[in-house]
Amino acid sequence: MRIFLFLLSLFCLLPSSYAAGISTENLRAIPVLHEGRVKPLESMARAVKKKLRSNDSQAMRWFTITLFDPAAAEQIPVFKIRNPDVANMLELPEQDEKLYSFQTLSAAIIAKSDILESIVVTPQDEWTKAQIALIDLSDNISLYKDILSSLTLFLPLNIDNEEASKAQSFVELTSQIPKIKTRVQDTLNKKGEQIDLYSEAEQRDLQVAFSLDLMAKGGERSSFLRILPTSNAEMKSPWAVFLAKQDEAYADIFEHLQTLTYAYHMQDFVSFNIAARELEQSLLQAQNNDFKQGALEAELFYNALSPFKIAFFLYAIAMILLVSGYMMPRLKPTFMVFTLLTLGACVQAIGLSLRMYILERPPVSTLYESIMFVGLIASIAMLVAFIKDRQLFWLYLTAGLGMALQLVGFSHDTSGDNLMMLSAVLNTNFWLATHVICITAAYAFCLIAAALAHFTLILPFDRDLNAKLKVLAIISLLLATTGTVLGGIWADQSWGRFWGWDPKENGALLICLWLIWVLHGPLSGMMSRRAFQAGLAYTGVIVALSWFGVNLLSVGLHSYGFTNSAATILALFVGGESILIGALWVRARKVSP
Amino acid sequence: MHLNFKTFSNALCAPRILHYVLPIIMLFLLIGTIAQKYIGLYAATHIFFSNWIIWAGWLPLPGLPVFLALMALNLSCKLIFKSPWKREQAGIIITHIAVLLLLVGGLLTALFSTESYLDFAEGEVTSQISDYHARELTVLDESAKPQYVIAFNDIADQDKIPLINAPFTIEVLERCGNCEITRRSDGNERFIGMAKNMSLKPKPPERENERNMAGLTLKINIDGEEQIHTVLEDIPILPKFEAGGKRYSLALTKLKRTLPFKVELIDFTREEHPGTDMAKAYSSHVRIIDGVSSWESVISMNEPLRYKGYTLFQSSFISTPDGDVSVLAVVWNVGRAFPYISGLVMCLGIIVHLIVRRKKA
Repeated sequence: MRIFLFLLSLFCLLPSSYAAGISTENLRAIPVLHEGRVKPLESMARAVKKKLRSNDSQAMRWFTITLFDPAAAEQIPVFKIRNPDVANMLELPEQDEKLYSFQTLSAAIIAKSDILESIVVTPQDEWTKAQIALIDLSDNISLYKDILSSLTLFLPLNIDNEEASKAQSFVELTSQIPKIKTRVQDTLNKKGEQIDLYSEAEQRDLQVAFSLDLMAKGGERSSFLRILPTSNAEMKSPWAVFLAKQDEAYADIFEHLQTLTYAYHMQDFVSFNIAARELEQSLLQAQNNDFKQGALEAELFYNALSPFKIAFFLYAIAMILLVSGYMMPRLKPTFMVFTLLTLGACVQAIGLSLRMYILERPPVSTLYESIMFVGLIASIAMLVAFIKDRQLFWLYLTAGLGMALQLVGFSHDTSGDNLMMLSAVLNTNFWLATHVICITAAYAFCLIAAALAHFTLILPFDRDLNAKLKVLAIISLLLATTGTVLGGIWADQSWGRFWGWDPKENGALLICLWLIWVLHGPLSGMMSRRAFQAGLAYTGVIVALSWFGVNLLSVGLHSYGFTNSAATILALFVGGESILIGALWVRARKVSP
Repeated sequence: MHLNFKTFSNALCAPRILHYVLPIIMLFLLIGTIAQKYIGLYAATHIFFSNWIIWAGWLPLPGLPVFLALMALNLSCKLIFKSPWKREQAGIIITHIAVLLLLVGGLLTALFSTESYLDFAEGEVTSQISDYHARELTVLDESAKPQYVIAFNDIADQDKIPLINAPFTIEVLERCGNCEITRRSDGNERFIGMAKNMSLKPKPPERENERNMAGLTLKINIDGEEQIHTVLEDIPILPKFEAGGKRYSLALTKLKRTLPFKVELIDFTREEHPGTDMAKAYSSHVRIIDGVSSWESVISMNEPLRYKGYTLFQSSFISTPDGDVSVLAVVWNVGRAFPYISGLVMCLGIIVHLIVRRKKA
């Protein structure tokens, strides 16, 4: 780490800083292999920035500085430390928004390396939350160190070299290295290891040889920026290619990278933008047959559109209009609200379609995707219901549920890339398109039923909505049962057993049993009309437990979507809903049994 | 008598049984699921989902199967005695029949299915499969043929193992399902091999049953001469002794079963997502050898091979210095078809019910 910090100082004194005129437009479209798939550089920048626990705003700008000016980048506060115990362990000063720079953190981690060593030797399942966060932070520091070295091959070095009239990069100095090393060896032979006896030029040679040697060693670990295509699905980083002596095959790309870094440091944004475009073109041309440029462009469009954020705002505006219309009846915003909600659902559908196109799989493979998919299904179903019976409450429910689900989705998109590759067992489009779609559609109908049941309990309607609630409950049961059985068949195909009492399986069964219980309650005379409504309102809690709760256990074969942070929120939701539904039920029984 | 039967059948048909039983089943599901975090899937399944009786200290409580059986009985009675067999009720009746089918399938699976695994390297041919959980002690002769096989679960601490016509007797001194090995301080000339220095102490089971290491310390009496041996699960060095002029060895392994055919691993391939160590796909190219006929097949994730009632799945793989070892899950399940049929019938029933309901409305 100390050596790395020393190396960064080699780039320190050169004129640099992010120039406002530099455009990242071409840079963002560069294809890069990251976490198992080829994506635009911009997506990787966003994913990395989120991984460091910061948000993904201005990600490309920050990543450009990271690549082209590592000495400046190490001072940018980008690491967010949410756990105060971690800040205390590292004795960090208090910072605005709990953001710290690489420089501060790497120095703190060096100073407190004994704490890390003591954590590593204890069994992992005994780690406290703070210890997990500290190890995570340490991993992120290592990751960022790797990223900072990505283009050090091409960066102009702060080395006073007698053979160069201007600052030179490692690549350019390569041809001179043997000469410099010979001179250093001669000096060593003549004057021994006593540096005081060396002339100024000899000391300079020694410093250059030492620095270049260290840089090459650092480069050996620099494998993050995989932008150079190979004949197979793999892609390589510039350092990997250079150290494998394969750089001749990428001569034009290396030249573009060199021009780019010089242009950046000279703040010559015209040359920078031209070189970035040429680099992008060269890299696109060099891709092999498996490369799908359409998917890359779709992802850039997806990033620029941020469809789920737009959908959230549309739902929010619709809700504001609805509330305004309720308070000022002469406003009559129904048509406008319906249009906004339809637009929201369309944007969501576009977002999910783009994800399907990019990843070539159904849009329900991760927790984040399932939330967005449930939101879309719920919105479409409720808008169709509104078209059918023109009841205003459907619009309230669409806006409310739409907003709530988007917010839950955003809370599950805080770390890394949300366009993830799948493990082998999940990597099957048939079962994702049948079982998972069915189960998530069941979640959507359960949530609609629960929301409508809340609505029924809150407002003592003249009309009885029980018939609608029953139909919703039966549709939910149909989808949940079909989804659960299909899941069992998938498990039978994959693991050799229909049922294994895995938490996710139990969660799905819980929803089925709950719906059966609630539906049979009134038939057996054991549940009043209001109890049935309260039971159905509580389906939301059962869905939350099944959908998110089982992930908190971190056990089972469904090894996706595990999360440690949502326990408190889920507990608050369950507790809050229990009290709310209980109170509403008691009140509704009094008003209209 | 007639009245009593009617009262009894009415009581069994009562929908209120379902009303009370379902929350109990849901409670079992909830507790059993949460328990998996602390005691692992295997133990939680055993305690909360498979056992007919749960012991709360000294108090026996009915287990989940009891309530499932009660639900099945309630549903059967309802179908036979109370269901109005009318067209309007068709959806409900079909759905209820499907639920019964599912429960019957579950019962058959619980009673008769076996789950085993087969791990082999490229070029290896085998018909031997191992149970995931059950273990057995085997006494092998000089040619490594099993002479006596005793289920580990039937072996109790300080017990004598009954062996028919054996020139030796075996007494159990130490037994543990998951052993902690400590240094033996009281070793003498009777202790042979590992037993000289090792003592076995039971320790709490691991969350994953496969990680438990079972072990036994056995006293073998040969014509009045005593030898004490330690045998540990899956340790390749087997304790040996001589009795009646023959050499024997002891092995503690996962319960072995023999397939009615042989399987040869021709090639194992795995593919990873580029630039990561995350598996994208893996598959085993195998040859099935059944008597004089043989043929090749590929088993991959979600694409099993079915033959003679057995289903072979690509389960996982083990990386070794000599190359990858493919692990196949091998399942025998007589109730396999039930979920497929009942699932289909159930969906059909609910759809019919929705259609009938809509027409009525």
